[in-house]
Amino acid sequence: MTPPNTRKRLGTITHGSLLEGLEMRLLPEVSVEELRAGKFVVVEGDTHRFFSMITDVTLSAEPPDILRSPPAKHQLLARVLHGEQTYATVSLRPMLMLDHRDAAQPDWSEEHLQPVKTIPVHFSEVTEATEQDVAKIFGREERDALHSRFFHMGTPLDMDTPVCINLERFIERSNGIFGKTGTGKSFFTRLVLAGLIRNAKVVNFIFDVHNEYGWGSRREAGAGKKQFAKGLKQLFPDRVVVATLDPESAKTRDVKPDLDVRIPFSSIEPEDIVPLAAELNLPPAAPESCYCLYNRYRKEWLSKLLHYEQQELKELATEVGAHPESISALYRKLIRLRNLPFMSEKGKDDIRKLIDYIQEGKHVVLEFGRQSSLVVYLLVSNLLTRRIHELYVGKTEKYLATQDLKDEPTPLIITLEEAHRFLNPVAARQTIFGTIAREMRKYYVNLLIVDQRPSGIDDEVLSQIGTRMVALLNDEKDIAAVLTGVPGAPSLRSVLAGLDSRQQALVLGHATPMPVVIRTRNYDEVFYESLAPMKSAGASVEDFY
Amino acid sequence: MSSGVSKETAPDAKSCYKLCEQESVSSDASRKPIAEVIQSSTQRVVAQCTQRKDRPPIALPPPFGSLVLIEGEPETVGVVCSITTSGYDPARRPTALELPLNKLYEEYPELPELLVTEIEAIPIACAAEAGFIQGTPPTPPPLHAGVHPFPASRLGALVDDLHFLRLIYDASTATGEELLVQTLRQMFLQAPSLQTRQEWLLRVGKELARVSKEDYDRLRYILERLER
Repeated sequence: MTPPNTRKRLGTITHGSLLEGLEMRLLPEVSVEELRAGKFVVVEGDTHRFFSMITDVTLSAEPPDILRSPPAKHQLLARVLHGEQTYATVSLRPMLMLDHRDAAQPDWSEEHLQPVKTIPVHFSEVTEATEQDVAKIFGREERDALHSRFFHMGTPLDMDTPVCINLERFIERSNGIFGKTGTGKSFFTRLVLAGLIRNAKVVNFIFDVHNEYGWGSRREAGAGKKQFAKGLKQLFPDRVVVATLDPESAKTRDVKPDLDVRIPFSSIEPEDIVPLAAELNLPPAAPESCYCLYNRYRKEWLSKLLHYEQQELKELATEVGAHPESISALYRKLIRLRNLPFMSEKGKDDIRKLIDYIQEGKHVVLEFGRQSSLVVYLLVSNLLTRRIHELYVGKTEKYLATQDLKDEPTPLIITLEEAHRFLNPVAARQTIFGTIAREMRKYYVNLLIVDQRPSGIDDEVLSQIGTRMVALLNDEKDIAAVLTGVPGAPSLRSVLAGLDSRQQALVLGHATPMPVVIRTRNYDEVFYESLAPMKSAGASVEDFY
Repeated sequence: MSSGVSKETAPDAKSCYKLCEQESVSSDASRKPIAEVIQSSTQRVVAQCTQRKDRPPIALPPPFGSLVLIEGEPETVGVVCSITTSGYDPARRPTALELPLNKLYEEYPELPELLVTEIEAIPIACAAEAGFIQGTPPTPPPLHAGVHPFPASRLGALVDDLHFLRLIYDASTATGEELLVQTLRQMFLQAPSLQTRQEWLLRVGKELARVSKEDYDRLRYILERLER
């Protein structure tokens, strides 16, 4: 333990409430400009040490007369008033507390930390947190181990000590990465995915709608601007499979996918079409028509429908017992599916293959190439996720029946971009993703939601999110949305609004003992190097270029 | 108590106060009082300035706002808050003589015997073994005790604790802010260096800000006067 007197003193506690947080009077010798929202500080109470975060900083003057004719900055009067009549107060949000008796032991760890149930006494001293505090609270990544419970995500704003997330806890729930466009969401996601692949016993399925996770992607800023960052396939060649819906695009980008995905019409079921109602502008009766066709032709329903000529549709309608106009409307809307290059009449069902990869424990990145229209994205992701869902429900039920640890399914994380398209209040009730976000935890399937518009996501889904990593958000609605269900949300708002637009994020939730603002780790050679122990012996990353 | 103050301590001081000290040092090495207590209470001490036959004018009182040290057990520190010169016999009112000052004493050599200068001082501290105890002294200084200019060498010990400012601040309500401003000015003139002076100024300012609490305008006025 670091003795309190070696820590830099910042101020004393003057007000406090469990609900509203603490208020610290800043020492006159500490400049208010040294303090940033999100900074990590320690309050030494009588019996407990409170780990807290700065949420707001205020300038105050007493008596208020001073402000009527304020002195010039360098006048004697200004210096005289500084610190006593004119002073700064700092709002703190205590996040964790630690008994002094535990703190006295040199080997205290995050297990000794308790949630905050009280507040420190008057005039408790506030000091800067030390590197040791950060290391103890956020754990340490064991570089040499095959699996490390912790994964180094970044550092606190004013320190160089790693802040880690607890991956074991991370994979227990659905998680979210939010931030407006250009704040480094993709790099953050890639970082998390690399961490999961490197350290956690988990399988990832990534819907890579912008083709940025599998293979290299251009950096938008920072030291390596205009350079290309390595993709997951390059980092973990043996463990990652890249599949594509658009081999042409892959070829142009000089990417060698492991699988060109072909989806036969027979794989599509009415449930896959229904969620597209809004995007395809389907008539209200479309679902019934789909089911009518499905009842009659089963797996062949779609190919049957799309092979009819417009004038013969009446016949078909009569045959299946649906309204001719409705069938005709459905036909007009769905005919565009026939033009999608990855849809095939018959033949191999690559969905099965993708599922097999998952079963083998391979991480799958599904690139969309140029097929990134919303309809395709919705159709394919819904289609696949439904199959995966079925698979995992089956696996879990088997495990529950045998209770044999060998049968326990490997947790699966589905990475979903533009998540508000699937999880908006309407879609969340129809698509499979809503179900996963709400209750698939029990079936070992979780989502990693990546989104720039969290306010578009259903509240019920948001409230179930375990860990949130939030980069800069400006819209009040979005800020309110990401803080749904977070205790002490109002005080975190200012922290969020104060983030830099690059490489900074607020991490909070299940996988971290307390909310923390981090400067995210660089996604560079050093990072690639740190992943090394898990790389397969034979294949060098360079071979894949 | 040591005798007076050396010339080096405040080389740039041109005040009467300094002149007065030098005089006391040169005229009597074992310190001669500049006044004698003729009325004493814990709140206010009245002293009559010593006649100066060697050099007119008749008496050279310590300036308004200056610190004085009054003999006794213990010694008392006071702040000069009033200076009055009047006729010796209250029944005989002085009349105008219409002479230039330098001729005055040649024409009327008896004049010093007929006039008397009195000072009033507010006791603000008393001497203790180590430095001073600030505040109203437990007993008033004895009658007929000698009054001396406060030696600059002991100023540091006095300024260690600034509680006396409150007494002067309260007392200065009668004289506007003048007493306070003058007292502090006199003190700062005695500061051993410019840096110390700046430090004192800041410390005094902070103490005054505490004392003046709600009266921001008064604080501002005092500090602006002191800064000039």
